[in-house]
Amino acid sequence: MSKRQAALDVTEIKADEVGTEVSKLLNQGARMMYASGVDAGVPGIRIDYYFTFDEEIPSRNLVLRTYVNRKRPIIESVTPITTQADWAEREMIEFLGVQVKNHPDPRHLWLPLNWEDMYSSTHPKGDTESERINTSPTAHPPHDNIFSKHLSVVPYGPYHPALIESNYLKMSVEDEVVRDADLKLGFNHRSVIKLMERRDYYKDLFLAERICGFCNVSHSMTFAQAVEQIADITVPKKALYTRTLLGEMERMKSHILAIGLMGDLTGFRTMLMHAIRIREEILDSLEIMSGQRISHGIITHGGIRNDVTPVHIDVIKSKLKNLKKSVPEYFDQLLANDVFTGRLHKTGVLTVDVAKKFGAVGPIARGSGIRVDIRKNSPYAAYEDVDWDVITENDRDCFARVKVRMREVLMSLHICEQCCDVIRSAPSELITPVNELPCGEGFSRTEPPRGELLYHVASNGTNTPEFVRLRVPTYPNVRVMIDLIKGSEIGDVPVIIGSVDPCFSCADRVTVVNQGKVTVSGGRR
Amino acid sequence: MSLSGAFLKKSPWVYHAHAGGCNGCDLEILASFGPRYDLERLGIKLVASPRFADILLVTGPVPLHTKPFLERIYDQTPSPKKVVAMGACGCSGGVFVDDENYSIAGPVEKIIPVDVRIPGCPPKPEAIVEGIMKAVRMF
Repeated sequence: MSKRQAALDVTEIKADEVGTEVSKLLNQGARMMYASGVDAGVPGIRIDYYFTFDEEIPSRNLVLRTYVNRKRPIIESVTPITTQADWAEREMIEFLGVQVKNHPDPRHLWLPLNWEDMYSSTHPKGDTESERINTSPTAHPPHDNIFSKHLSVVPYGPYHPALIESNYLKMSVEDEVVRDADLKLGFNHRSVIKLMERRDYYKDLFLAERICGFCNVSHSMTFAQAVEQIADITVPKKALYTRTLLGEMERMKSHILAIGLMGDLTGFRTMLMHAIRIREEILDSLEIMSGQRISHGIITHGGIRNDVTPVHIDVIKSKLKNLKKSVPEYFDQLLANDVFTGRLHKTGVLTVDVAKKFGAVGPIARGSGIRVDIRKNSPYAAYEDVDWDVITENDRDCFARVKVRMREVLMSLHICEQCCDVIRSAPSELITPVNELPCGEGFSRTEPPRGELLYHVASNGTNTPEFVRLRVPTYPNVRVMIDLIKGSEIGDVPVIIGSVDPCFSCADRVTVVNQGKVTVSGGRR
Repeated sequence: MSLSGAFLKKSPWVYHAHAGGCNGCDLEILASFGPRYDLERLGIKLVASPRFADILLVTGPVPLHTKPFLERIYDQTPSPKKVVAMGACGCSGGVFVDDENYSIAGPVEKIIPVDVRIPGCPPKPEAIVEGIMKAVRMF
């Protein structure tokens, strides 16, 4: 039986010591995962800085906690010390109203740019009584933002509307080289963590699943693990192995689609169709287990909901056998294509230093030769008991990232087979019921297909959580992506985006700014 | 003057407008245009611009940020046009319906007129095929 993940190690410090403490930890080799604030009421706004030590296995998780006054919430920015805190601090500025002093770029990232106007009663059609949000266009369009800049729009590259998602990427281009890039997010902001505080723990599981359609198993599993840590219960063996099986199947289907998308982005659409064909086998076996193809609802607090019977395992095994034949064949076809491999070689090189500086996780970090994998660093579910290894590539370019994904699919097939054998003979107990949930905090990390996912859940003894804070793997990786786009050629941008495989969900809008004179190609927006 | 819908019955083009949501519906749309379900054999094509689309396939609960873009996409689509709202979020708001949800402007029908709804979270590709065929028969 695998060990529990390490709990949080909280250190309280004064607000003016944050800078020195953060740099002390970073010098010890820590990586800042996230920073977030919670309005704690009387003591003030609580600000947590999450750290982990990647070199230590199992890795230690550390939180620096500080309180700032609610009336005057001012805190010194740590972004000048580490860029890993950049977006986290912008989030604090937006959602909590914390004034982060000396932040280099304190603009809106998630909320609409005319957000203040929407809520203020000075709006001509403002409805102060019901406090419903007014979405009609405002009298004062926002200045100095991503929309009002002088734009020349180019219908950009072959991309699939369903796959590259909700970002508004703006690039300043000089000849063929991208000089500057900026990103506006929030087209998909659904206030999930706010809703989680209002619903009970079992409903929150479904909400967590609906954060992302690609990695819904990881989301519900991480949330369940955090709650299990608070309740201090042990999950049955069969549930642990089923979770591992689901997680690995999810990794396979996400990676195969990402690889197919890379084919699509290099003008090789047949490969996308092959990828969709191969995915169907995985979706079929997931449907047999849970009854749903995409969002499963099978994971619950303390175990799993449905039994996975030996009959299911037989079907899944036959599907895995088909996959073992079709997946290597697919990869060989892709690697035999000179256009595909030549396009990716030496494109978007991410050096180890830059990856560490921005705190890259997942296949992006492993493509640069950094051994970061939460399945190894702080094992969860059954990953300690099955035979597998972390996959790294040392070439650091887009091709290395694709190769990491390819090899991980094959490794996942290997893990799935082992899980099937164990589930078949495991004791039939599925769930350890959660009878009582004491006050406390739970912290859990997992490795979805795209990197590191963390959940921080606090219970106050009632049936709803006190707060939930989560950080998705795309968060640090997109920060890396912007850095990769700067200085690359404009034709390489779709490949770089595809190799990072961001997961914002939403329609994609790529606009190209040509500084100086505007060349109209494709019409003004 | 508008085109008669009779021409469109043969080969309607679909534009997929992602208005928030979790990607689950988008994966299923992709699967329904993939080799197994293959909507293209019915003459239906996924296009990348609303300007030459006949059917708008809208997924997601429409966050505030996306609302003006969705309205603009609807205006850009030439008539006759049909709107298909897809998924639990597109039909009713799904799990995101709440009094204190500050960032959702929709369901889709609050913003643009909807002709066909495909419920499910996410709907299976078979349901998507049927929903789009229903919209096609309305032309």
